[in-house]
Amino acid sequence: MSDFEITLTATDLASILATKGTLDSKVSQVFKTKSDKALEMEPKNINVDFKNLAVLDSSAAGMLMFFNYAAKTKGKLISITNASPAVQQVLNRANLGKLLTIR
Amino acid sequence: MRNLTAALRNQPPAEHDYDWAPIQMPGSIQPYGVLLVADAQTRRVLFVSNNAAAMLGLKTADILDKSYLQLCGSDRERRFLSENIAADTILFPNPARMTIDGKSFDAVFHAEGKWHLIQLEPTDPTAASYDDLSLRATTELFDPPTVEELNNRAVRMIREVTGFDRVMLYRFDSRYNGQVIAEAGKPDIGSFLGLFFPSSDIGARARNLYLENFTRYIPDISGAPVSLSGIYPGGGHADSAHPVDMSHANLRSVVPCHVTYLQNIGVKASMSFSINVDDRLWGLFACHHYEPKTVSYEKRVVCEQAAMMFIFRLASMTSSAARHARRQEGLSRLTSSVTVGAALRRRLASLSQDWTGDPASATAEALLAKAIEAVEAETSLLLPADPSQMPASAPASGNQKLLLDIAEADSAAIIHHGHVTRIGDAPSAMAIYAIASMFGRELPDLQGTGPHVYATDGLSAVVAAADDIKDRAAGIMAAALSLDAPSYILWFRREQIVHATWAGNPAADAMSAGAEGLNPRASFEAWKQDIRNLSRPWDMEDVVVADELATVLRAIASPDGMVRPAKPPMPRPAAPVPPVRPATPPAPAPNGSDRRVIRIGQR
Repeated sequence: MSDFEITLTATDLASILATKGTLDSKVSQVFKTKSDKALEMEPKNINVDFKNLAVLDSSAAGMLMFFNYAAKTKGKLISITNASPAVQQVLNRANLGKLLTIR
Repeated sequence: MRNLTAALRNQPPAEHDYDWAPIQMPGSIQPYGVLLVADAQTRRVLFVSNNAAAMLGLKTADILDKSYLQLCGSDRERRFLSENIAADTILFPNPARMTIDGKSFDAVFHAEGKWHLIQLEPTDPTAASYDDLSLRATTELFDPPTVEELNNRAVRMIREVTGFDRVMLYRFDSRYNGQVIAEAGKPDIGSFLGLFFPSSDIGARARNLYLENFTRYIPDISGAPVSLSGIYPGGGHADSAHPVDMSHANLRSVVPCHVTYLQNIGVKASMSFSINVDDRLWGLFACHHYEPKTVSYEKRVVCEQAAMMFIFRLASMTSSAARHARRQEGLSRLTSSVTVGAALRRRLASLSQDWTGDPASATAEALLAKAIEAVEAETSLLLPADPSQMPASAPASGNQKLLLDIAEADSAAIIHHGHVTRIGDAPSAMAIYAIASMFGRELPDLQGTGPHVYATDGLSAVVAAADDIKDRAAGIMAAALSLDAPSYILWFRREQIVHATWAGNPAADAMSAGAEGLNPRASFEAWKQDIRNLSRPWDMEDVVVADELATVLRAIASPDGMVRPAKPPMPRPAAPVPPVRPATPPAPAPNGSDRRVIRIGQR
């Protein structure tokens, strides 16, 4: 059973996608439903908060690349924050820092 | 969640002596770059490759035991590296730029334990921009109409980015035999599309390396390996006191037998990008060039990222998420049905016991009997009140069909205390008895403290008697319904015969011992040979579904409705190791074509 959860909130400055659990291809539709909503919201900046994300796999890295592409076509900027060392390692190996901001 | 990894016992690939050679610590690199190994805390260089003088214009002695920052000819670059590299963090996306002795290098940093490895490659000033190439790759893979088109777009795009003569998409089966399922190449070099390659082509260590390091890049197979000098003796080799682990380094040198192999077949440059799904090597993008071929680091990153986008798109297009949801829904319906049925059964049994037997209530009594009968029909298969009353077979409908669907099985059987009910086209009761009699001996223990689930796609390699029933049960998954009695659910999958044309005889070992170490096989002639004796492989999702259902059923069946803890295993003599028969067929086709085919993806 999947343990992935995602919530979408917004401030004046940014939409925030807060994630929890394991982000992989099995839960991509759950991620997409929320991320599509974030793309339709007012703020130009979208922050993907990985504070409670335990696992990110290669396919999820690919999904973030497509999400970043979709965001750019709508004039939005994606940033990733609070990644754990394990998740950060995947982000580094995927060289995601070349495409979007990782803080 | 419990760790169920041990439950998955699909037949493994054949093992070879060279499988676990320490190829990640060769103590040498390829000559297209320079490797520095530095202490992560102090930045002090501990090892440097012995081509530093030729490529950097600096003597080894001027580099070793000094900070790598001093190599930077530019204050700005030195400041950037100083501010963005800490012992435990590298804060920038690779590569950084380092100007050394007036020459510009792409510097790729990564952490390896308490060391930082720095790979320096001459910057290619003519290379296309990463941003442009990345955008093109993303656009290409964003919305393909079919999986076949996704495959074709991916190989075309990687060929366009790298300029290699041939790019192949290579997919592994559960035993790591691979097949070329898409290809883009120059028109005059023939095609490998559809060919199978045996698992022996890529050893176990090399496969594991692909999970850690997504790229293998060999721009010139004739380049002589360059050794390392260090402040420690042994040159960083595997058998030294301070080996340098190059698992994540692209510069890692190539094992000699692979160089010989590529020389034999005329390939002079090779590159591959791994495709990893659920921590398993799903396949590779494999690239071959018939002349030496340099590809910039940034172009390689574009291809690596394309592989990740490919994985995601493939997963979403093949509906793995939808399949997962469908099976979870089936499991939920089945467990609900059985749970409600068990509660109803208890209530009706109580009513029946309290029945006074008033003749005036004959109609009500008859209705009660019918209700009991209906509930029994729903629940007795998985929770029999009296195993001796279990039917010998049951149609694949209702709950029985759900039982097959959640495990994507062709048939199933339930065993309670020696009584068997077959569901669908299951093997005969006698055959099922024969299989079940092996539990606890040749087959792993389903009782005790084991995972309580066992799945293999090659039953006949474990239970010889199963060879006769492979048309119905080449693969089996079993789950224990009781932790202290012989009750099981068995799911069966039929034999799936794959008609394969191989790149050489798969039964022949890829390597043989020679005067100078291992020699690669020399014959790659097409070889027709079916893959037999195996079912579709089981995966972890199958095992998890079986475990969840069996856990619920054990809980319902226990006196207090709770899951009972497993009893400690009884000591018993070691079981004999069963003979494992090869999963490959016996006789080759008499005449293969003389088309020469080549191995791909070797590290």
